[in-house]
Formats: sequence, C-alpha cells, structure tokens
Amino acid sequence: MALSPDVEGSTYPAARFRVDESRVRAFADAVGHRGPGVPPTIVTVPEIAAGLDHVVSDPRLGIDLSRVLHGEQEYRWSRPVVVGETLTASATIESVRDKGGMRFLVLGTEVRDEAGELVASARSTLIVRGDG
Amino acid sequence: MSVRFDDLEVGRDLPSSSRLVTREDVKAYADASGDENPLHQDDEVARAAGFPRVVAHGMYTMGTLTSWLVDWLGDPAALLRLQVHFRAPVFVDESIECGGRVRSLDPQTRTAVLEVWVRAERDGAEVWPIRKSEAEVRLD
Repeated sequence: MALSPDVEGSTYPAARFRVDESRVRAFADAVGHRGPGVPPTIVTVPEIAAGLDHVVSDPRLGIDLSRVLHGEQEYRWSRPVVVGETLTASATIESVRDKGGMRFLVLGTEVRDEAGELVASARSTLIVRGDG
Repeated sequence: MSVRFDDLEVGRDLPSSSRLVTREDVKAYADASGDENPLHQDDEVARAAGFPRVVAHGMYTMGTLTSWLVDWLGDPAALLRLQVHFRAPVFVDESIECGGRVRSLDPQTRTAVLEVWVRAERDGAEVWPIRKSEAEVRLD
C-alpha cells in the first residue's frame, strides 16, 4: 500500500448542507430522536459529503469501500444546529498510518455556519482492512 | 423531563434504553445521511464481507446513542462532546441497549463527563458495539 507523501494535511472541496425541516425530520426518525431541536449528529450529513465521499474516490488512497470499517468518531459542538441554516463542512486528512496489515485514516472536519463560525468539529478514524 | 447538574453523582448509572434496529430504519438512515454503502442495505454484500446480514452504519448506532442521551438531557444544547469507539458490528433485526454512567463532575463549569456504551445480546452472549466511550455535557 504505497502512498504519496503529500496525502497527510491535504484537504477536499467543502460541502454545503441546508438544514431543512424535511431532512431534519427524516434524520430524526431514523435515529429515534424525539426532540426538541435538531439531532446533534445531523452534522454527519455534511461531514460525509465533505470527507468520506472524496476519500473513497481519491486515487492517491485507492480505498475499496467494501473494506472500510469505522473505528472511532468524535464530535465537539460549539452550539446546537438549527433548522433553516446552511452549514459548510471542510475535511482534512490528518494522518494515515499502516499497522498490522490495516490502514488507519484520520479525517478532521470543521462544520461552520453562514457567518463562518464553528458549529461543530468532527474527527473520524477509518480502518481499511488489508487484502485477504 | 430534564436532568439537573445537582442531580448527578459520580458512579451513578443513567437509565438505559433499548431499541430494535430495523431494516427500514437503517435504510432511512442511509438516505438521510447520504451514506449509501451497500453493506448497510444488501444482505448479499454483507455476506460477501463476512457478516450474516445487513450491518447498521456505525453512525446509525452513534446517532441512536445520541438520541438516547439527548432524551435524558432534555436539550441537545447540553451535549458538548461525544467520542465513541466502534468495537463490534450491529446487525438489523436485533435490539441494542444504550446506557452510561457518570464518570466525573466539574461544579465550576457545571459539566459532567459520562461513560457511554451500546450493548447487544447475540447468540446468548453480550457484545459491545460501542464501549469505553465518553460524552461531555453541561447542565443547569
């Protein structure tokens, strides 16, 4: 699994997500959120669009999605998400480490509001299982 | 109902809650989150990856844990941080139980660190899809 050295620290194009009522309701139903307010993990939606969606098609990484496991996940919220706002997420590859035939990829994502204020930050560790 | 800082004691268990993981909810989560990995929708794909049937997204399980936590807190704004370790898969058609315990309290900031977990029973044995994980919350 040779890797070009410039991968760590590289960023992907930002993703925008409008927090509309119907999306919030669908997400809340899926995770059993009974209210009030918006489910805090709705920030996963722009996080995936900003990070995972790019990672699995990044030729420098050559990741086969069927071999990806989710190892760890952390969120820090600065404030609750509110209906009607538009969030912008941008992801950075913080580290790539190979260990025991597996690759550990750490992605950091910042989710900001229209004013550029930080709403939440996320850190996701993906584990890519090796061949066989 | 919402919990208050002064109600908390280090070592106290939080009231746990169980939820059946349905295929429909996992499909709804895929659509709502945008994570359309077929591992979470197609039994054949799941079996090819070595699982008995469709696997729930780790983030579905973390989202369910978050809903349980927010339900107990009474307010999403009380949740400051959540960090989880995914230790085992969750399969559709099984029940998961969310729970936790107060690990430490800081009266100055009225914040608490909670240990949180997700447990399931499978073939007569306990499995821990999420364990040794923690949440930081701020309460009135």
